[in-house]
Amino acid sequence: MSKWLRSGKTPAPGTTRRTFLKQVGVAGLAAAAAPVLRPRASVAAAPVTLSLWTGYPELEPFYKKAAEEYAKTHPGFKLETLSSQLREMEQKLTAAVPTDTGPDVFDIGRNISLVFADAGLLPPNPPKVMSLVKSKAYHPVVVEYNTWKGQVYGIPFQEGSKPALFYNTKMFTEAGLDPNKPPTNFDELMAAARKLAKKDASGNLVRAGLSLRLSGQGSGVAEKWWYVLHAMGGDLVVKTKSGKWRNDYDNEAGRAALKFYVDAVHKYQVDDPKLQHDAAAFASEQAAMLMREAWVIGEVKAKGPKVQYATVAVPRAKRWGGMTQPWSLYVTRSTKNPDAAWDFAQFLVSPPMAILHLQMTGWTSMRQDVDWTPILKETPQFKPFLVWDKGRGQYTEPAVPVFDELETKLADRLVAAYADKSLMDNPNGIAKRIKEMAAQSDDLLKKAGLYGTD
Amino acid sequence: MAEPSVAPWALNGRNLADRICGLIRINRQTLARYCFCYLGLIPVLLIYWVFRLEPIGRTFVLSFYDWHLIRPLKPFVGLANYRDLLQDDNFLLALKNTTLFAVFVVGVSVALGLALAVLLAGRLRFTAAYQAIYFLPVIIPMVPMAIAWKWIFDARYGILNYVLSWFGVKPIGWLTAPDVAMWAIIIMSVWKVLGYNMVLLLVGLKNIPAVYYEAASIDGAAGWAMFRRITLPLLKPILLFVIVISTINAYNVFTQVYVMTTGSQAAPGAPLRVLVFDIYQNGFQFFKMGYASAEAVVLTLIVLALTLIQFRVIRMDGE
Repeated sequence: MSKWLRSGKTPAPGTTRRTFLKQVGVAGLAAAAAPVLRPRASVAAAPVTLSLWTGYPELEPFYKKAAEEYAKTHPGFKLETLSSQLREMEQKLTAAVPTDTGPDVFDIGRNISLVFADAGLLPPNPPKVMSLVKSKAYHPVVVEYNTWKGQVYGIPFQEGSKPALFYNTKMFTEAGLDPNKPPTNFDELMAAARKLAKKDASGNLVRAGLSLRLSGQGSGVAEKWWYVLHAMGGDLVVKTKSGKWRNDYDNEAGRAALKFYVDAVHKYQVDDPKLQHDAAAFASEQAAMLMREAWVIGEVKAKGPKVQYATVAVPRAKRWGGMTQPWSLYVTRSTKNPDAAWDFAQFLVSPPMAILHLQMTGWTSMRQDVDWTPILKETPQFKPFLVWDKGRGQYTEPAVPVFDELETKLADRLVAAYADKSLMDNPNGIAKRIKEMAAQSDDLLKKAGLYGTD
Repeated sequence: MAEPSVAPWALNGRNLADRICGLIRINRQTLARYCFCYLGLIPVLLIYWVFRLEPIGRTFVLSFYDWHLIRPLKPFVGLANYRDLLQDDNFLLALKNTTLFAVFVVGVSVALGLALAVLLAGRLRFTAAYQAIYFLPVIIPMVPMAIAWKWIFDARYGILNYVLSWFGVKPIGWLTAPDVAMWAIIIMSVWKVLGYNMVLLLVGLKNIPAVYYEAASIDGAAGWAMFRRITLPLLKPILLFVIVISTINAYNVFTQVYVMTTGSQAAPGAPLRVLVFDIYQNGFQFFKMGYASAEAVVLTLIVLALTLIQFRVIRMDGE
């Protein structure tokens, strides 16, 4: 408001009527714009210290660097970070968030945030954040993933599970395969794996043609099986017309997906549980192919810099798609600086930070409006993770609170099935196993009151 | 001189002390000593209450609720958690696996421990060195040891398969083959606990008075007869202690299973599921604290029952 108007004094001598009216007009506009500008102004004005918790210790340097960048336009801004291993962080948050003793901002998977949202412990996104999340910056599947009972929670931050096929180009050439023509469907994948698998004089497999997730406790086993299941036309669970859920793998797709694994281990012997597995195997050239997430690129760079490899989208069968599992940033209801917390969270997912995020951590952003050209020029292996081919769909975990338990318990049974040689060329045995697994999944849904049929 | 005035509450206190003394037939000096002792014990009892009894009691109470760590509604469900346990494949499998683990670890570690103790109790050179070598695994923390054993058991790079290859044995997937993985964990666990059992039994053996052996040898007894008639009966209290402690520890197996079987290069999941892992998973991964509490109560009751049975069997045998 103008000083003159506030003081009630007349304009100073020498001030023309036109100048006076101009000044009044400017003052009026400033007053009208004040409510719009206020949140931004308050964020920028007062020095703020935020706390951020992460279940990925490798993200901590990125968060600190981003905070330094943010502080350039927000003087006095400070960030205190706390990181621990994922399971430990999940436990910390489950103790801290309900008791309002948590941080201002945290990143976590939806297995935890969904339960918080369901219990009313997490605030939904404010309108400004909502418009960002619902903008073209994110794929609709990603927005749906962050939606619970009509409200959107959190800002999609990084990709947790999007896989691609990694293949060793040198081994392809040695095996007489064209590295420029990688497998596009699962039949071609198995055929290539058979050519790439290597045995010693005693007949023991010494190099996996295709390294599969055959063992280990946790939901990861089921998640990797889902890559094949989805391509075959199935899903772990499907929503029924009644809005409830049931398994979607006690069918031809489920049996085909299990058969693919059993054949890989026992019939064609392109993988063996005794071999080294996962990114470590690919980086040490003990596996010719692997379906995994983008972080493997960083792993190979660090542990096998001489490995010659390329990446391509996961092959197709009846369907072609890629799994997506957004890891999001959330602001707690107990934060004393909600405006600053949301503002910083939005800054963390901004396009320049998305590039920094990928460069520093190897994790890819969820945003689809970032120009990745400089990254792809430097590391073309990121392409299937960042550029989505036409016709390649996206699928994700359903919003089912017991989904983690369902996947974990399915994983135990899958591991046992992979190791069972009697399932080779045994369609009845495979069907029986699948039926048992599906019954367990449905039983979990029933106990949670989420089971329904069409 | 006027008598010093005494406050009414002090008089009441004195009367109360006199009454208590009369009631339990002790003098005031003894009462004061008792009061001092119990007052000194209060902090310790308080700590014991807060960190032991209260959590045990709470676990018992929680087991009757559908107590999800995050959800605000935590309804009372009575015995539903216990009923569900009886139909839970994972729990039943974990119970079976844990029992198998306990039977073999306790059996082998006690038998081997006793054999070693008998050997080391004799006139053997470098006894102290052997004792130290066998006891070494006991003092090394479980986590680093489990990681070391994970490498020893590695199918491709493990030293165990390397040594076995000298004898023409094909590589064994110690931690990946479903029918072998539990045995690998048992071998590691026996190795870890063997020294502890051996030392306790050795102490017991050395406390058996030599006069019994002298008398027995005069009567013509020797070797196995002496061991069966003198050593074993006199070693029973220590043996009972070792078996009870080993059983409790075996039923609580978790660390080695967790460390050696997590990750992508790991064990075949279900065949290695043990009770504490199942409790951990239900409680801290799925946040079903009520259900996990019911499992913990069942585990406590099993261990308690086994301990009582062991006491009864060994005492009856002694009588």
